[in-house]
Amino acid sequence: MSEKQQKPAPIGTEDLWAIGLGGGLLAVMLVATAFAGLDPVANPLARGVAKPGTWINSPVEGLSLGIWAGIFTTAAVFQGLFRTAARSLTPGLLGFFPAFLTVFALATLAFVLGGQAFVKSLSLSYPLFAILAGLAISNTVGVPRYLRPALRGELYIKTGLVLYGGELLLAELFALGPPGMAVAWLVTPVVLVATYLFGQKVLGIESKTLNVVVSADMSVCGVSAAIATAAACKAKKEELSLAVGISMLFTAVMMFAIPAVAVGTGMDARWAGAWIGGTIDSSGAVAAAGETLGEEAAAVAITVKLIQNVLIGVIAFAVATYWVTVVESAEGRDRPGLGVVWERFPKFVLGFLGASVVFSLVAAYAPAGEEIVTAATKTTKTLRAWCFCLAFVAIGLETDFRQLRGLLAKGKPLVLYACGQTLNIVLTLAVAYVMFVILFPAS
Amino acid sequence: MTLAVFVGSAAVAWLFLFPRLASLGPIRDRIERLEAASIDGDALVVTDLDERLQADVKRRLVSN
Repeated sequence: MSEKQQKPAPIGTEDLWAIGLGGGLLAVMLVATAFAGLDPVANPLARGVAKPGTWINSPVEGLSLGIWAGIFTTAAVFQGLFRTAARSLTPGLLGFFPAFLTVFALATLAFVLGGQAFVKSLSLSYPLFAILAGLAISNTVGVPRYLRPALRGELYIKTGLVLYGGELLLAELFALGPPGMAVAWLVTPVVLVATYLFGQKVLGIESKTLNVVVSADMSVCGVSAAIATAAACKAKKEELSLAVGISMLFTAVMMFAIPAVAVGTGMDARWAGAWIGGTIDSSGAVAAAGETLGEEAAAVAITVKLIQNVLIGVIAFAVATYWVTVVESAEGRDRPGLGVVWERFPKFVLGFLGASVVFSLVAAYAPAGEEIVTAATKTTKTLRAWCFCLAFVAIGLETDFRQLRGLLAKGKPLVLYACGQTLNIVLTLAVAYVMFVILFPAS
Repeated sequence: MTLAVFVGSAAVAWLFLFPRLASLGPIRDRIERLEAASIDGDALVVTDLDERLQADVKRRLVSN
């Protein structure tokens, strides 16, 4: 018998492990919070989860003893969970522990770099520094062989997305009533589809996955949408890295430019808020830009962005379905039947949506449900941030800078982002004006 | 060698340059204003924002 035949089969798939790990962590946090008592509602496990905090002069300012304890506990728990998954997916895998600790240490460094107050004020956050840390190593000294067992970017991303599902409460989709729905529900899909078609038909971008990831990144809500879409259409690692870099670059400019135009032209606060929420990518930048126009503008801006955040699940599902039924079948294969569609479909998307539905139901119908969900997700959002950060470190470590340069050839992704964002700015401005100024003016 | 240059440059930027920039008048004012409003500039998604800020936003929308 050959060596290949003796090798044991993997147990489960990456998607199923992501659903199991993410869903399991969500369930543990929810149950722990629910049984800890309601006065006040708090998660007793919250102390065991932490990430580095904000600092100005020295990183030590953001690393108290309590935070260190939370970081070590998180590292220990994640090491156990991801090692189990990695060894099930790759039977016989050895050396996960030292590899994971190194990747975790680089993720900690990325949080520390992103936590500096000046850097934070520019909305440059940990994904960028995680990618750069990985890139700096892989493109200079090369990735040490011992790190390979822990380079599981997709597993970390998918687990993070299932955790993120618990934070997305479907009732928020209706938070601003018809005006908010029009700005987020109408403009976002229109800009996404128009930008994707523009990339394909006009710019002739070869990689459809890069095209859709940049389009979703720009039209929905930046990095988080890029992560979800990239996983849904199985985009390459360097394509996600590029989309994240472009998004952060434009966000750092737009968070100052959009409010400046709104102030300069004396726009109505709610109109300006909706414009900011619908066009600036990251939520921190939206809140900061909205705040410069006052509390009302900030509230509308944050709520429009919140609705877009909730739409990520729907968009990831739509992109995954489109990819397995149209794009992959057009690439030399026949129109797939239901069985084939199910086989190809990225199942973690169902975990992502399922978590959102379950937590929405608990928030809406359980006694003190909203408080319990808020307390439980206060902890899971930190775990989700660690998953994303680990993923971006792994992606950076596996990305060859020459591949990134190749993707940027002729600047097409930048042109795509700029043109799509221009459409987004104009369309959001117009629809927000109609909805917030003409049809539903402030009372 | 290249990695050492990267690490050295990052250390200088984060430990000397950025703290100085953060203490400059307009930048310091902006950082303090964001801090007072409980705004995390690096929040990727709305649920990353401070819970008090999220609650304030909801209250404001309900009252309107």
